[in-house]
Amino acid sequence: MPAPIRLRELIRTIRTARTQAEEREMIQKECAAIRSSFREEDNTYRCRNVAKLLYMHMLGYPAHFGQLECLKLIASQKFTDKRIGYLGAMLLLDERQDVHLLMTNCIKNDLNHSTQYVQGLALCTLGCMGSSEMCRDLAGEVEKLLKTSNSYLRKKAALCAVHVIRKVPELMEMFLPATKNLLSEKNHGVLHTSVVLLTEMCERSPDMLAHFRKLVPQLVRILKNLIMSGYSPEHDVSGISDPFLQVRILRLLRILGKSDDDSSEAMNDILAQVATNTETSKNVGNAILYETVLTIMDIKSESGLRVLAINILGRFLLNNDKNIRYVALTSLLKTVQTDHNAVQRHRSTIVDCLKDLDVSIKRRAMELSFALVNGNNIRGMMKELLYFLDSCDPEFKADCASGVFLAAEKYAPSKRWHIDTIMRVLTTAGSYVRDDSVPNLIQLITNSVEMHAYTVQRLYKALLDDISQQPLVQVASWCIGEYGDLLVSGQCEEEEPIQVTEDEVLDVLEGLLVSNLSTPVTRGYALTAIMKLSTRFSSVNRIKKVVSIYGSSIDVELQQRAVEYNALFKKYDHMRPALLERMPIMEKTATNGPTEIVQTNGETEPSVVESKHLPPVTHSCISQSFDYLLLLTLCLGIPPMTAYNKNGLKIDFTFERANPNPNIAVITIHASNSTEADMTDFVFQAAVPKTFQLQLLSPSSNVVPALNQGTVTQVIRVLNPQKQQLRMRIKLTYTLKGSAVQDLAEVNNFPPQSWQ
Amino acid sequence: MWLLNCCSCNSDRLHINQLCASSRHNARCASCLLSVPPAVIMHLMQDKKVLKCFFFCPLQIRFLLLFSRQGKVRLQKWFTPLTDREKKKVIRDMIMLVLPRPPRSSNFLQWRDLKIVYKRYASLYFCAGLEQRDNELLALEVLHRYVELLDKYFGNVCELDIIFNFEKAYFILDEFLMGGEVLETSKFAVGATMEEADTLQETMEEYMSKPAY
Repeated sequence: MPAPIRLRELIRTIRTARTQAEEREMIQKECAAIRSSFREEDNTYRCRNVAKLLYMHMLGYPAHFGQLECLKLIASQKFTDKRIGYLGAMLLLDERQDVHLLMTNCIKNDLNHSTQYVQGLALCTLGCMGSSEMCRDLAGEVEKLLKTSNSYLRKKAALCAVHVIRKVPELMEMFLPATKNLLSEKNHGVLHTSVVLLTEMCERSPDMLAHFRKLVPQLVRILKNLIMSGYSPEHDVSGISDPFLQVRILRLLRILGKSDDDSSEAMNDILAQVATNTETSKNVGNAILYETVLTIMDIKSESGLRVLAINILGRFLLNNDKNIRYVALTSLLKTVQTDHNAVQRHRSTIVDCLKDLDVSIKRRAMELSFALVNGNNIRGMMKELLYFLDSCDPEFKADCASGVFLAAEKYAPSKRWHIDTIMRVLTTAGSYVRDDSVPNLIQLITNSVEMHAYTVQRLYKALLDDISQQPLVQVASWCIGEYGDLLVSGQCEEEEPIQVTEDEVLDVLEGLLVSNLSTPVTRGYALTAIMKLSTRFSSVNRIKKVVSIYGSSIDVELQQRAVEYNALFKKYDHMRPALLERMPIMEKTATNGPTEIVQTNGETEPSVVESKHLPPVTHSCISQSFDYLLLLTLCLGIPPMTAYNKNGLKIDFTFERANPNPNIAVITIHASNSTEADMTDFVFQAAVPKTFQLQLLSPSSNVVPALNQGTVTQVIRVLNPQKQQLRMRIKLTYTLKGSAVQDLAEVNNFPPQSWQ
Repeated sequence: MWLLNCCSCNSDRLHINQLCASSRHNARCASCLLSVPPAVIMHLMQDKKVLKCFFFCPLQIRFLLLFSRQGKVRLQKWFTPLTDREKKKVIRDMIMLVLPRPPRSSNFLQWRDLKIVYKRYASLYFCAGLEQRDNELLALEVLHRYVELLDKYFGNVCELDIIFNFEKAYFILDEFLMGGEVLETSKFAVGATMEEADTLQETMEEYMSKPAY
């Protein structure tokens, strides 16, 4: 059997492959050779084969059959084998693999090996990917090595201990004694890893935190030495001595000083020193300054120091280096809650960052700008933000639009400004706004009564320009439907009124109906708006024609509306003005959420959110009793029925589906009296078959007024668990013209939908 | 089975299933891929408040990737246990995020809950994923120090050196970082260690003559 090819040879060969298929072929061939070599238990070339396997693994090919071979390599005496074996273990044998635990014994042996580099390999593997069981087993060994005087091993043991603590936090106590004199080390590697270990322990356990607070003076001293010490070629980075250690110490100081006055006091000086003396021309100096700022903001520092920190961040904002600007914006975002005023001072710089070319910076600047908006700067900030909205990438538009709406809602100086701002957003970023912005805007407009004329005029002008932004078109058509009379009569006070005829308005609305750009929802809005104008404009015939055309539209929604509006024209023309009159001022429901659940009489029912289909019923039309029922039909879908009609007393049943329980039919009776005299002492009783249960609520009154001047209503709840056909026997008693009348009747003509 | 709050990324998507609850498996947060060991899960289940102060988040650096401009991975070091599929997804996402960036943009970006720091050296991109609370500017220094170490060891390092000596690149990395943290801050110590360890590597005759076990 010839010797397997060398690693470099394989790499060279694979790189000559010109296509993916060719590469795959080579790899498969080599894998087959490696597999047979593994099967022969070849000790000599195992190392080479595993190395090749690792290379192929990096290219993305499966290498799981090499897992056991890695274990064998780790167990070998030869250092070369061990090195590759441990590398393979770290790449292939993470804790999810079944054979992971088999490493434990090898690692244990190697932790006690005579050669420190072998010990180092074992510590490294354990510290990078040891599972919790392995950590539990080997924690003792790690702890032993933490106390050794060999600094090479000590630093590795410290980071290994960090990993053990992360995996098995209960073992933290075990490492406590070994930490006693960790900070008195001279070796920077040990010092650095010790600080990491202490940080980990303090962050995990409040007790440890309290215990290690006494180290603050020592840490301050070490930091001072680093800053004041002369040039050390070993640790110098652009004139700064060991920045990694400095940053880690600053972070540990942050944790130790967090809620503790004394510790914070002890570190004030050194923090001020670092903040003022660090060289800022290179990235490394700024890294340290950044960490210092974070520390100052987190501990209980004196106010002078805090102002210094924010000013450093402000200086960062003006730095040419993009990374530093980005980092400054991120930190300012974190501090804006606590030190709002200080950050406000840098507002103009932050707003300038909105114009930066870098995407990450723009995003941070946008978030920070929204955080800085308040009642005083709203006008100026909004100008900038709207300008940003105009020119930014699509990925920002949705967030920016939402932010603008929120800010406008909170801090709008005037209603007109608010409406203008929202309109501006809708015209520039209309397709990116949230769905609930349309009803919110409609509500806002309705409630700003004095702005109606101005609003409808502006919206009309916007429609003339552009009908592609659906939210804008929907709001505009709604407004024109509501306030079209104000538009035509030219009543606007805020700005120059425009001359518009009724036909022009109807042209625009009809244009929306036929345009390809309009979505079905928009078309619905447009049709309803046209319908509403029938009571505000005089050209009713034109409107009638439009409505009847759409009675045969393919779109079911549109067709239904058109048919209903047609019905309004034909049969219920007397109700039309009342139905289509101005909307009342709406109660505001939740800003963000959908419907609210309101408790009424112990039942829960969804509160009425403005209906987009028909305006809510106003009291003026309830008095027109019979036709009211038709209206409810339009709303609810189950046709009403007449249960009883004799001697001038007519009882109608209407049905509701408001109840969440589908087995309960809620019936409202409407009793009306067409005779000349009132019916007094009116009592309605009902009985149902055995399979049903009945609940009769109290009536609205027991006098049924004469000549249909009013109705008595009463609610019946029928439980129908078996969904049988509903039948009822009713008994009516009343007094008419002095004489008592009593009658029994059976009601069988319930519509199927009421009990199905 | 249960969904708890992950305080690393503050999402409520830390899935605890039956295996995890019976201390046999780690749990994973679906948002930030944080892996929670069983011991901590028991605390979480008993007292959710304990989570915040007791177990907050793990690593400095979650992963380190080196890839070429053509998207070929030259080195991948993972400091959290992930499945192969997850690793491939991360690599794919990193390549997709980093390669199209214009040359003068900032070296930081946000991905899921991690900060991604990347720097281009000649034809190789060095890309590291950090925790939210980490210092990105220092991470740039870490990447730079690693490049310096490679340069010192290989003498004017280029991508080919890393391709043909990938195992050495890993060894150097393992002397510089461990468990996501910086192990050695001295510029010379890592080089010295590598030299000594290399001498320990047996020559061919030594290798052949030495017993295996």
